[in-house]
Amino acid sequence: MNPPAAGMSLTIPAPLWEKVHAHLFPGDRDEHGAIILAGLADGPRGPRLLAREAMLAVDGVDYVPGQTGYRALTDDFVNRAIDRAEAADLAYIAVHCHRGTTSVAFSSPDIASHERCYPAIVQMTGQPVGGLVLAVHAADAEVFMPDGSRTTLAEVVVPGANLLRLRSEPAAPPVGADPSFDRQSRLFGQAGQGVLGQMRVAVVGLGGIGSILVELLGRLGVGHLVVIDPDKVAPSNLHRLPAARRIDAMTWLRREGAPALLQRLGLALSAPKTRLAARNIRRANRGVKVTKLRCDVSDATALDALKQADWIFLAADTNTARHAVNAVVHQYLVPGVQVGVSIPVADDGQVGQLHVAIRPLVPGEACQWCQELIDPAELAMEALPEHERTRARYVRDEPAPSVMTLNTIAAGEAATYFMLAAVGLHLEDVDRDARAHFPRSRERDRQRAHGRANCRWCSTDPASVLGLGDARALPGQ
Amino acid sequence: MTGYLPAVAGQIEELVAQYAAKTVLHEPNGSGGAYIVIDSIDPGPAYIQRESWLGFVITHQCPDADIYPVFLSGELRRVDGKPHTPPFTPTTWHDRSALQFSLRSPHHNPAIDTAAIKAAGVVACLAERS
Repeated sequence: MNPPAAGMSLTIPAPLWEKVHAHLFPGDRDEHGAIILAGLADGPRGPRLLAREAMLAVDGVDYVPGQTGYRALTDDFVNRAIDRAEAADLAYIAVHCHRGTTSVAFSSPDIASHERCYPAIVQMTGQPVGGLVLAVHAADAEVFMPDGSRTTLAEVVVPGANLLRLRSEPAAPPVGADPSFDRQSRLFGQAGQGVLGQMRVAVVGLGGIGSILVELLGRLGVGHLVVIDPDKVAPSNLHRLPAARRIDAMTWLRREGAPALLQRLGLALSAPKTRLAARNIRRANRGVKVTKLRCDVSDATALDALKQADWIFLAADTNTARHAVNAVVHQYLVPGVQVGVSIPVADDGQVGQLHVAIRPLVPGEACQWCQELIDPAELAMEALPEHERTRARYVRDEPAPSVMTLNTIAAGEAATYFMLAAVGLHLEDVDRDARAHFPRSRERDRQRAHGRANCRWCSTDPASVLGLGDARALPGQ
Repeated sequence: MTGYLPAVAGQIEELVAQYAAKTVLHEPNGSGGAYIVIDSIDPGPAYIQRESWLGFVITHQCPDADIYPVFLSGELRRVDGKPHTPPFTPTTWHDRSALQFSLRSPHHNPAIDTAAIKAAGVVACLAERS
C-alpha cells in the first residue's frame, strides 16, 4: 500500500473506477482508451482533480490504430469530450492502459502526443488537460494547466472499500518503526502504520460515539485529527464520554436546583467537547496533531476543514450535519462512515428494537438523501434560530436514550472499517453496504441502498454536484 | 450575512411572480434566508374569515430543506366553533398572533419543490378542508 503523496492527485469514485477499470482491463491484455472529465479542488497536499464522469472509447470506432503510436482516440471522440469539458468546466484526462502490474510509465509516443495536443485543448477548454496511463495496480499521469505549467500527478486515489492509492511505482518502504505501535503494525506492517500516520481524519460530533472514536483513532496512530462539535460537556454527558471528569461539566454549579446564575456560570466554565477530545487524543498518543473546531459542522470553517480531510466520521445525529457531510462526501469525493444508535423507548417504558448502524459514505454511491436519512422538514427546523425552533415544535423534545456500551459497538466497527480501508486490508470483493446490529436479538443485517437516478448529490445527472469540488458552493454558503 | 443566498433570491423571485396580484413581503433572516409574508390568502372553507396572511421562512438550506412550518393569521376561527387541533397550533410568529400549520412534504424534491409550489400546496390543502 502507498501512503498519501504530496502534489496534485486525481480521485476517482469507486463506481466510476470499476467501470473504467473493467473497460481498460477486459482480460485481453490489449490497449484500450477512455476520457475522464473531472472537477477541481484544493486538497491537503496539493490540488485535487475529482473525476465526475467517463467516456469509454469503443475499440475500432473511437479508439483506432494510431499514426504515431499503437492506438489513438479518434478526432470525433476527442472533440465530443472537449465540448463536454468546455460546457461543464471540467478537466479533460485521456486514459489508456499498459501491461504491467505495480509500475507503469508513458511511452515516448505518449509524451510526444501530449505535447502536440494538450496545450491546444487547454486553450479550448480553459481547464486542466492531462493524460493518465494505468497498469493493474499503478498509475502515471501528467497534467497541463491553464497557467501554462505542466505537472506530474502524485497519485490516483480510489475511495472504495479499500482506499486505493496508485502511483507510477510503489512507494519506498518507511524507514524506522515506532515501537509503541509494534503489536498493531504486525497486522498491517510499518507501511500501514505510515499510511495512518499521514492521514487527516475529521470526526463530526463528539458525543457518545465520537468521543470514543477519537480515542481509538489516536491510539491507531492517525497523524492529524480534526474534531468538530459546538457543545460543551454537560453533567448528563459524563457517564458516556471517556475520561470525562466532573470538573469538565462543572457539576457542582450546574446541579439541579442550583440558582440560575450559578447554572449559567457553570455552563460558561464547562469544557468544550473539542477540548475533552483533544485531551483524550493526546493522552492516547502525543504525536497526533489535533485541530479543534468548536462550531457547527455547517459553519464555513468546519466545511473548509472537511474538504481537506482524507476521511470523515459522521457521529452527529442532526439533519444539518448529515446534509453538510453528505455534500462534502460527494462534491469533494471525501470518503467516510456514518454511525448512529437508535434506542426506541415508548412513553410506557416499552423498549423497541435497539439498532446500531454503520454506514460507509462512499463518493458516487447512494447518498444520505437517497437513503432517506435526511428529513427536509427537520432540516428546515434546524435552520431556524433556537427560539423560533423551540416555539415551532409543539411536541416537546425529550433527550434520546444513550448508552455507552451500544456506542462502543458503533465506534469500534466504524474505526475498524476505516483502518482496514486505509491500509487496504478489506477483502477485494467486500461490499460497501451499511450494517445494522440489533443487540436485543443478536442479529446483524446488511442494508443495501440504491441511489436515485437524478440525485443532485451522488448521481451522474447533469445537474448533480458529484465531483464538482470548488466549482459549486456547499449548502448554505 | 445581510442579503439572500442566490437560491433563496431565485425562490423569492418565483413567489413574487406567482403572487403578482398580492403583496409578497420579504426580509433577510441574517443567514442568507428570508422571512416571507404573502397577504390576502384564502384560508378555505374551514374558517370564518375569508382572508389570511401566509408566512414562512425560506432557510439558508434552500432548496434542500422543506418550507416548514408555515403560519397563518392567528385570528382565524373555525366555522364549527371548535378549537384548533394539530397540525394547526396557535402560536406567535414575528410578534404576530399566528396559527402554525405543520404541513410536511415528505417527498420534497429540491429540483422541483420551490417555496412557490409549497405556498400553492398549502392554499390547495386549506381549500380542501371543511
